[in-house]
Amino acid sequence: MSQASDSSRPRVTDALFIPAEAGRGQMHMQVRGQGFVARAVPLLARLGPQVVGRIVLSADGRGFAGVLERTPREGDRLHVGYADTELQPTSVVYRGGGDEGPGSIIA
Amino acid sequence: MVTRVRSPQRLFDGIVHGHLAAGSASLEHGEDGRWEVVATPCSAAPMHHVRHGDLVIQRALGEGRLASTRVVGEDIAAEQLFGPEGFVRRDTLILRRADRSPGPESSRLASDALDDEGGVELRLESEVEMAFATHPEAGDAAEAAATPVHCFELSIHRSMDVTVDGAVSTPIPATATTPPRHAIGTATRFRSIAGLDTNFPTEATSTANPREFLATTRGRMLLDTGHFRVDPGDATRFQVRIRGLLCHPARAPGSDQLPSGTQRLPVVVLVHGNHTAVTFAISPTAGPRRTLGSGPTAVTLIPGRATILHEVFSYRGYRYLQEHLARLGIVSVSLDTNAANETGSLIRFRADLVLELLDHLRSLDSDPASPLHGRLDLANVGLVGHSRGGDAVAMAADLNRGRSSATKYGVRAVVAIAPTDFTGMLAPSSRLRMRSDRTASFLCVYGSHDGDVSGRFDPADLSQGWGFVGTGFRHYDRASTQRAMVFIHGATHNRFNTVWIDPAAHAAGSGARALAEAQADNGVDAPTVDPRLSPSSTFPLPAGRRDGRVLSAAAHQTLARELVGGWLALWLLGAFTEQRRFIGDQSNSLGVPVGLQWKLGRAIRGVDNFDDSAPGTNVLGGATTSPPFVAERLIEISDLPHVPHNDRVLEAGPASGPVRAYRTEIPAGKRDWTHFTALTFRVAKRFPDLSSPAIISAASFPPTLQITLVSGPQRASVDQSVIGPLNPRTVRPYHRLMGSSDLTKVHLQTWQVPLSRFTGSGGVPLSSIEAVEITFGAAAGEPIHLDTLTLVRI
Repeated sequence: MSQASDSSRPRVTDALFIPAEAGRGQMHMQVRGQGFVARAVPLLARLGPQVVGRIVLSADGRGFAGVLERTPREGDRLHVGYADTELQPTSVVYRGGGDEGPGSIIA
Repeated sequence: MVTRVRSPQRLFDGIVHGHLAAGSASLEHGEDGRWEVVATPCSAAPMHHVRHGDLVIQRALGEGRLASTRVVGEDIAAEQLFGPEGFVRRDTLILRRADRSPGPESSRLASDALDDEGGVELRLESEVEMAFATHPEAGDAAEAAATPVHCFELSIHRSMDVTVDGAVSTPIPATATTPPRHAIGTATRFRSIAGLDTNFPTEATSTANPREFLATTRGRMLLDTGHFRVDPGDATRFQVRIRGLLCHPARAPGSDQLPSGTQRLPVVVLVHGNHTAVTFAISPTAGPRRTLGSGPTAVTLIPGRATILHEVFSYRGYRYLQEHLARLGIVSVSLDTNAANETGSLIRFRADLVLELLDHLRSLDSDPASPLHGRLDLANVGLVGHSRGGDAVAMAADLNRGRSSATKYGVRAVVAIAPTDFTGMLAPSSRLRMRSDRTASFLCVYGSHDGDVSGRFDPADLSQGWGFVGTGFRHYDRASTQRAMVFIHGATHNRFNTVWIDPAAHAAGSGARALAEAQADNGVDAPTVDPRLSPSSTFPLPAGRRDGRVLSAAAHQTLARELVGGWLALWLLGAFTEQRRFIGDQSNSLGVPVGLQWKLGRAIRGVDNFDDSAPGTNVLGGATTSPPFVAERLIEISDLPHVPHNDRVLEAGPASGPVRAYRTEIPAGKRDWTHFTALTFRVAKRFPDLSSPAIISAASFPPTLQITLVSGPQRASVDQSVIGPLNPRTVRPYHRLMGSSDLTKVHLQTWQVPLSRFTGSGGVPLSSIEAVEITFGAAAGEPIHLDTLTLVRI
């Protein structure tokens, strides 16, 4: 079965990576955008090969937060979608350490 | 102290006029001994509480007139004891012999504890009880509508674990030949305050300063806003709010009291699904700030505290159904699971909330100060879930099974409306299955125009693995208790909940509000289902017109009342006539086409479900013989597009060769079929082309079959010319596009063939059926699927 049109897809504008204070390399991420509607079918996301866990949506539809169990690799791209559609690549790419790494707003 | 009265007339008058208390007065009735009051005049005693052999005093109203006594089931039928509004007639008092041994009501749970697997027989109810049970029919709707109902909100906090199971944290890595797959993450259970921070991601809310964010966690936000609270007895732990809308029959219009009497009323818990819930406002609080990064790109996190900007009260969206249930004599609570929605829960948290609510209701039933004291029949419980709530009530029934007998509830019905199926692709032992040790019955209601649990699946993206969210069809496939599934043509997902389609219930400017305005399940559907547009029956749908097949919100409510209410009346009130809705003998009041699957009856004997690993035998142990063009096959959507099942069936192609029929032998000891009234089976055919409604309408349908019963040299056959008219409500597939996704579903439907069609002149004796033969009329490229060959006594 083919995909629905893009008009139903959530759109990502940027993301903030937040290292967990007491994590074992765990990192939280706040993703901002539009069109994140709470549905029966859950929202899924992955950064590179790593699945974003514990996703909670904002009721205003402007994003979600999630947890990465380990520090991403440089160049890992965020993919987002609902469980009944293919995850779509977004413009958010993790860039590693330094000023472009954790704590940076990545668009 | 018991007051014993010898005159039926005196007993009646004493109770009616308040001289005698129903609970402490009894009738001395000759050699029959002492009789206790079980239902008083005008009370809401459910009809199924009346038993064969109960004594009825009917008072000829007026001074100086007499009272008569009759025996239920011998001199008078139970339905004659109730007025059109469903309450006990005002001239009627019902008694039961004090030393009577437990009747069918108390024994029925045990009698239900048999599944249809392995060919064992399953009994619905005692014949006597089911023979006289009825409940208000459509013609009584006006009277039923006049029955007073009272609804009120309840809210308490209870100590319970929160389970976070929504995480997708255990991916199965990709290999050289397979893409990565996901699995439901390991559930985390906790009730500590600290867990509210550690089990949720940090959420960063923008401020006017782009380098500053207000930070907190979702768990902490729920604590801030009253969904959780600090446990008054242990400051390191939290409690969870149990909130809901309770509706019950009322004594009189405007009354908040239950109808007078002592009868316990069945209890139903309703559970909504995942939906936009709480819009939080975050404000800064004192506390250490945290800086991420350095230099001009550094970001500062400021501790935040949440308040509620807006909340969608999804649990209030089934009041129309609750009021209907109350008029039937059922107490219901629609449970608030917004906390589960806000924590991303898939199933478990919701299921735990169901049992916590039931525990609270039990405490109310035990509390002499409660208006519900002694009035809740917690051995007669129904669980109704919508969307993720459908999965949740199935899990709640499963969790209830594991409880001790002292804390277990008598779940008589699980009803799943447009349920998700999150467990259907997990290891078989992890899949939720509605067996008779979980619930006496299971009903699934699902719409062909569902735009959320749509069954959409992209075979090119198996990387989603578990994310392949199934539909109610899979729940039905796995069930083995008494069951039915109604696939409603034109029904959507959200329209079963009135709040979900109410723009005013949603925050201004939100995407959820926009969907509510169009009463749509998603943005793709919105331009084609919006009731503000003119309907069209043209395909392709012209721009600016809505699909005229999509049912209105009012129609969804009517069908929910009839189907969900009917099922609950059948299983909680013993309204046996309601069974007709689910076996194709009665249409819904709107005449809406539905695809039916069912396995119901006072007695059931499975012949074959084609699920075993030994295809050479049926579940009775008899041998099967298949011609080359018939074979058992697993049908699932990843294998056969448009097939919503996940089940093994018998698949037949065009007949060829000398042997034309599939044959299944009935072993000795199972050949007496006189106890049954019909042979049933599920059947479907493949459609080579589903690309338009016109093409579907023009295709050959329904599939053609011939059934032959064999008894020694005698044979009796029934072909399609008979079977077709016996199952006139069989429906063709509903053509369904969502954007460019073709979601048309080709599903099995249950047919019945009365065994009387095989008897009579030239027929076979039902006392010695040795084999069943099935001849298929499949055309090339259009195989026929058949499953669940079953004997039933309807």
